[in-house]
Order: sequence, then structure tokens, then C-alpha cells
Amino acid sequence: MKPEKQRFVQVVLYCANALVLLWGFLIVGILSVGMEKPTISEIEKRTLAAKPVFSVESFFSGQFSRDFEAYYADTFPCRDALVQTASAFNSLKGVTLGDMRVYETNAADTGAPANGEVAPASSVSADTTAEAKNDAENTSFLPPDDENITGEQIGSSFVYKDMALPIFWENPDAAKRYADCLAKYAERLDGKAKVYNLVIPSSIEFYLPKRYKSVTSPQRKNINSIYELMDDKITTVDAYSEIAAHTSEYLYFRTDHHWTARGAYYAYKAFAKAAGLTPTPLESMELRTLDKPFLGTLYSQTQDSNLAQNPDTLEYFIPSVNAVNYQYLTGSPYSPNKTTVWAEYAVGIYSYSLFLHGDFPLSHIQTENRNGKNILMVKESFGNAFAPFLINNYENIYVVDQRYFQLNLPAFVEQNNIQEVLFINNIFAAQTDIRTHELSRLFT
Amino acid sequence: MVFANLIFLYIFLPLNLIFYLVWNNRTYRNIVLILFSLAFYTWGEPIWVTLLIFSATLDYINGLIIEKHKGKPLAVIALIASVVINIGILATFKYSGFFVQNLNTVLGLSLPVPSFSLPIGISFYTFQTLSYTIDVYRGKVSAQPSYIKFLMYVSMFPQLVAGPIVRYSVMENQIDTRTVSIYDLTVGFNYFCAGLAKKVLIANWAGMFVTQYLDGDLTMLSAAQAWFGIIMFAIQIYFDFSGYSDMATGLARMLGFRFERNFNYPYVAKTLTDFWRRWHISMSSFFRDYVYIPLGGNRSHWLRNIIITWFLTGLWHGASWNYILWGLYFGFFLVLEKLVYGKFFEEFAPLGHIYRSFMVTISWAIFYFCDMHRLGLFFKALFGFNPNASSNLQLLVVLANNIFWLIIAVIFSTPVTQWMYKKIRAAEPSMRFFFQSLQLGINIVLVFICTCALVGQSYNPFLYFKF
Repeated sequence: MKPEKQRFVQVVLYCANALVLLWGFLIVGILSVGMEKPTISEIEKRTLAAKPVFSVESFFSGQFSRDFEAYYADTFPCRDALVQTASAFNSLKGVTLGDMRVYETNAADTGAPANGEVAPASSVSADTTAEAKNDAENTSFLPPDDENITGEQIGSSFVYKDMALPIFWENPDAAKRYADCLAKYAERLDGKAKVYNLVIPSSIEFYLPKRYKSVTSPQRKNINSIYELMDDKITTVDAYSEIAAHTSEYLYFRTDHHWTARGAYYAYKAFAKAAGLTPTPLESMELRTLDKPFLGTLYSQTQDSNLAQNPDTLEYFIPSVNAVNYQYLTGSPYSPNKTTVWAEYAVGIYSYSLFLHGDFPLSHIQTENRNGKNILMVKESFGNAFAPFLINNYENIYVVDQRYFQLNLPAFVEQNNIQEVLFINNIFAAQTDIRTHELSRLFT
Repeated sequence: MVFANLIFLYIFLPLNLIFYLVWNNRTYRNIVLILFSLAFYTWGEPIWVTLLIFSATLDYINGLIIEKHKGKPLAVIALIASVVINIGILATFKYSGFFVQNLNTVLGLSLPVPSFSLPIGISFYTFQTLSYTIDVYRGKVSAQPSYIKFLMYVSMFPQLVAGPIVRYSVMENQIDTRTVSIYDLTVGFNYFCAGLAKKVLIANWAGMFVTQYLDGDLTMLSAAQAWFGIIMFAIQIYFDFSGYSDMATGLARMLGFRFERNFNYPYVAKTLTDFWRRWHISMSSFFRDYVYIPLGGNRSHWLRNIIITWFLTGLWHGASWNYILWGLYFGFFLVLEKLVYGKFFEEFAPLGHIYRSFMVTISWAIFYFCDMHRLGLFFKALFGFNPNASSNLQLLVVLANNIFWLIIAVIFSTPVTQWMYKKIRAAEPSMRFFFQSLQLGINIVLVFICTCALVGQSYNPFLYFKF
């Protein structure tokens, strides 16, 4: 090439590089502002962040900027396609061994809904009562404390086919501290209320192929050893065996870290056995299914495309006994909101909030039973799917979230004439010091 | 605001460039740049933008006083005022809580601990204005008579929140002579896209592993997992920080400014001395020129000078003992290298690389854990003293799932690609057209992938909130 021609080519290439990028940024920017904003994500089955309202206070606190950035990213043009492309690129980062993948998840991702994703008033389903509708509009369904929610499931997930399985690893020292903490309650409540403990096994125990077993700790042995540490005054509940006998059923969500109502039912059956109750057969309750399938927390963390193709469905069972739910929000431990047991309008990633509307410091379920039997459950979110089954057998069910409850638990038990106290925790929570610390805090 | 952010990429950046480039008039451009920079800062720091303007105004005046009264007591007073106020701002906002806490512990008091939220970038801009007044005093630069130009230098958004620390002496002439050619724009975009990819595609991803392995229950970490976690942090902090510097350099270039190099492949260094010639150069040279040398440098009390310099370097990174320990750790081993074995590792390069990698990786653990108890637990895990350690099968799967990404991260922390590019160009000069057209394609692909990642990624940390 001649020098002049070379120079010309050079300049053309420089111009191309600079101008294509500059105009590219500009045009996409104009589109991002000018195009109609989507309000829901089809693949994630959730409502997208809404445009924040500007106010002087929200601006100076920095909240407006943060919300606006979330809104802008959430409603970016072709968002769903871009997210899918990102997950396709992620799968190029390495090789897959067999049919499994491991995802590292982190606390930031497990976070609470950014903008009321749980229950937008617009998506209230047709069969919801007028009362629940009002509640949906009036109360905030944000969990009381964003940070603590994340503690429920931090860790890696093992994705096998279309199911994400949070990896469990035992921690005997922390389990010992959990048992010691419950022993203090058993001691304090001795003669006043009977104390039960139920440790819920997690999905990886039942759905991980044998050849990968070394990735996780065996759970039967772990639960047994926790139960051995328990004080003699505590009655332990063998939910493991009941659940293990029904693993062909839909007991755990594939895309969410919780169990299904059906999974909780078998724990209820085990509890009834331990407490000398007659469990109500599953068939005698009314089965309902939320009309919207959902992709839960584990999908949100992993963005795995196999999970996306097979969303979860939410089944729930309505006992024949009627019940109302009084929920106590953080900061108002004495004045409840009257609401329903099930939030039938729940959609999106936090669909599990169907049960008891999510996590509240205290939910008091009052049933039409007049048998004088009162029970208190101390739980994290796994307990939410379990509590409704107790409607069959009790007059009052007090559901305490160990993370948010603000009162003295033993005193509360005495004041409300509660005869039975059930500490129900998933296997992770039973050996996580933060959870145990929260439990011991309720003692004083 | 930060650069790796969709609003910055698609709204702020194109608007800024178009308003800036549309009229080739320096005063107009200075004002556009100030307005955009203040908007950039206010978006993330709506209250403390006042502090930035205050600091700039003050040192603008101090600079003028120092020059006008050169050699007279008033110049000394203005210099002292500048040093005291800048260090005072930094001490109040960054160190007062730490100081009172330690005072309470040592003296058994219970004074209320002040808790300011640290204004973004405060450690960077206070140092810049400080370097200005000191250099005016020393006669290295002349005072800037125009307030607009000085405010533009201090508030300039490319370097505002995470450096590099651009000294006034570098900018002095550029402020009045800069132009933007199509070549500058192209080079600027090349830098910017590379930096963006380093931050979004490598640092953020490594950061996920870091939280996973280092923020959980450390008593359950196996040695392999602990090493993996801390190596991921080494990758994260390098790609995040150097990516930021690249983006800053690129943005500045698009506006007609040239910054000096801030990172020069630190992970290929053979000794710690070499490492610090390559890591965050604008910061280490600042401490060299404004702390170490004024203290006497190598000539008198060099040991004391090194200890003070590294104590302060550590402290600058955050108000916590672990950063001080981290600084002193380097100070200690730099002295050893100087006195004992530095030459040896320079000569036996493979051994030097192993030594340097090990020492720097350990230093990142000290840097990462602000809680000494957790640091202790981590070292226990790192050297295999965890009885409850979990299985390594999981780690193996993680490694397999990310193997290509890991290889890319390692390759790009070395100058291999640069070196290959130069070799090929030297052998076949006409290849440069091919590379130039390739560059456009690479930029577009990188921006596209980064956009996808940013849209889907809720994890996008800002590491410098403690600096």
C-alpha cells in the first residue's frame, strides 16, 4: 500500500471505532429512555422494579439514586434476552462434568425484594377475598429486616438436571450450641409447656445422585446426633423418616430453597405422632394451586437455564377448620393486622410468601376449634409452610420468627397459656450460629 | 456514580461526550466538564459534594497565597492551613470513629464513637489538592489563576471516585493545551472497554467466589478452598482496581487528557519491591514523594522513614488495624529485601515469582479480614488446620465449571497479549490494520457482554468505599 492510502485506511478505522461506539452508546441510551418500559419479566416471572418517586429527602439520602439505578437496570430494553445471553456466556466459562453444575451464591443475591415484588396489588388473583385484597394494598410485604433474610441460605448450590440443591455441610460445634440454647428454654418452661424440636432435612439429601454424595454431609446421621444432644425434657420429632418415605412426591421446590406444603405435611404427620395428635389426612383438605408458576430464590442466584425451563408450582392445602391470621409487624408487638393465612396473590421469586404472607415477628392464627389447645412455633421461613396444618388440631397457633420477634419468649408463653412449644428449623439453621444467637436473644 | 453502571454507560457517557465535543472551545469544555463531574458526584454523594467544592475552593485560594507571598511567612501559613485542613477532613470523616474506638479501648473510656459515612473518593481528592499546594510551595508548578480550571482539575469525574491520584504537575500544561482528535477518542474507547471488561467480567465474577469462600463459616473451609478464595480475592482486587484505572485513563483520553500509568502488571513482579513499582503507582509514588523523601528518604533514618511511610500507606487504605498491619507487613519485607535477599530473587526469577506470589497472596488475606479473629481462623484454614473442613469435590466442580474463565484471568494479569501483539506487528507491519479493525469488533463484543452481565447481575460491588 502507498503511504497516503495507508494513512487513509488508518483514519477510516479510527473513525469507525470511535464513532460506532459513541453512537452505539447514544442510540441504546435513547432507546432505553424512549422505549415503552416493561413491567414484568416473563422468564423470571416477577414484577420489575418500578420508577421511584422523586422527593428531596429520598434524593439527599441517596435512596433515589439507588432506586433509580435498580429501576433502570431492571427495565433496560430487551432485558430478558440480555439476561439469557449473560447466562449463556456464563456457561462458556468452563466445562460441565456430567450433568451437574455448582453455583456459588452470595448474600447480596438472596436479598429481599427490591420493590415489593411479592405482592403487587395488580396481580391479586380472582379468588382472593376482599379483605386480603385490602391487606395487599395496605401492608408492606417487605420482610422486616432485609439483612437477616439472607442468612437463610448462603452457600453453594448444586444443580442437578432441573433441580437446584443447596449444599449442606455439617457443623457439629454449632449444632451443640443450638442444643444448649434449646436446653435453656426446656429448663425455663419445664412444668409450663412441653417443648418439641424438629429439624427439617433439606432437598440435597434425597435428590442428589449417589455418585456425588461426597459433596455434602449425610443428614440422617447429622439430625440424629443433634437429637442426641437435646435435653431430656425436649421431645424430638423424626420428620426425616416420614419425608424419606415419600420422596417420589413433590416435597421440595426445584428453583427455591424452601420445601413445598406437601413436604411440610409429612413433617406435620411426624409431629402429630410425637405429640399424640391424630393427623388430618391430606386428602381431606382442599388442594389449591396458585395459577402462576414461579422461579424462586435459587433460580435468581444461579440464573441456570435448565431451571428456567421448568418453573415451580405452589400447592397449598386448606383445612376444613376456618382460621384468621393476626400478624404483628416489627415495631408494633401489641397491635396486629387482621389478615388471611394464605397470601393467594403471591407471585414471582418470593412466591413462598404465600404461606403466612412471609416472615413476621409474630403471626397469631386463631382457629374455630374450641379445644383450648394452644401451641407456639419458633421458626425461620421453613416453618411458614408447616404452620397451616396445625389449624386442624389447635385453637391458637402462635408463629414466632426467631429473627424478628421482639418480646421475651418464655414470658410470652406463660401469658398466653401456651401448652406446647415447637422449635422447628431447617438443617442449615440448626447449625448456624447467627440463627442460634437469635434464638438465645428471645430468652431475655 | 460508578463507571460499570448502565446509567453511566448509556446516558451519562454519550451525553457528556456529545456536549463536550460539539464545540471546540476550551472554556466551554471546562464548564461542561465541571457540570458533568459535579452531577456525577452528586448522584452518589448528594450532601458531601459540598465538601469537594469546599476543599477545591480552599486550596485554590491557598495556592494563590503561597505563590504571591513566596518565601514569606504567609506562604508557610497557607501551606500549613492546606495540609491541616485536608488531613483534618480526612481524619474527621475517615479516622475519627477508629481513633475514638481505640482511645476507648486503651483508656477504658466510653466516649461516643462518631460515625460519618465516608464520602466517596475523599482519600483521592484530598491527596490531589494537597499535592497541588505542596508543589506550588516547592515551586514545581505555578498556581492556577483560574478558579474554573482548578475546580475542573479537582472534580474531573474520570479520576474522582477511585483514582488514579493525578497530580497537578501532570495536568498543569494539559489544561491549557489539550485537544481531542479522533485518534484520542479511539484510544480512549479501547482503554475504556478493556477496563469495563476487567471490572465486570473478571473482577465481579471473582468477587462472587470471594464472598462465597471468605465470608462464610471459616471453620469449615478446607485448605484448598481457602487458597482458592484468597487467590480469587487477589484476582478481584487487581482486575477491579486496574480496570477502574483503565476506564479512568480511557475517559480522560476521550476528554483530551493523558494520565500516567497506574498499574504495570504487578503480578509478574519478582520481588515485593518490584511489585510496589507496578501496583497503584500513583498512590505509592505519592507516599514516596510527599512522605518518604521529605522525611529524609534513604539519606537519614531510612528505617524509621520506611516504617512511617508504610504505616501511613496501610492506614490510607482504611481505618482499621488490619490495613495498618498490611502496610507494615510490606514495610518489613521490603526492608528485608533491601538488606538481605532482594538481589537473590531478582536473579533467580522463578524462585522470585513463587516468593512474590506467596507474599502478596498472604498480604491480601490481611487486607481482606478487618476482624483479627476471623483472620486467625482463615490462616488456620489456609494451612490445613481445620478438623471440620468440607469436601473438595465441590471445589473441583467449581474449577471445572470456570476453567476457561480462570485461564483468561491469569493470561490477562500478565503482559502476554501485549507482548504477542508487538511481536506480530514487528514481524508483519501491515497486520496493524487487521488489529485495528479487530479492535472495533472486540470493543463491541466486550460492551455487549458487559451490558448483558450488568443487566442480569445484582452483584456489583464498589471496593473503594474504605479508601
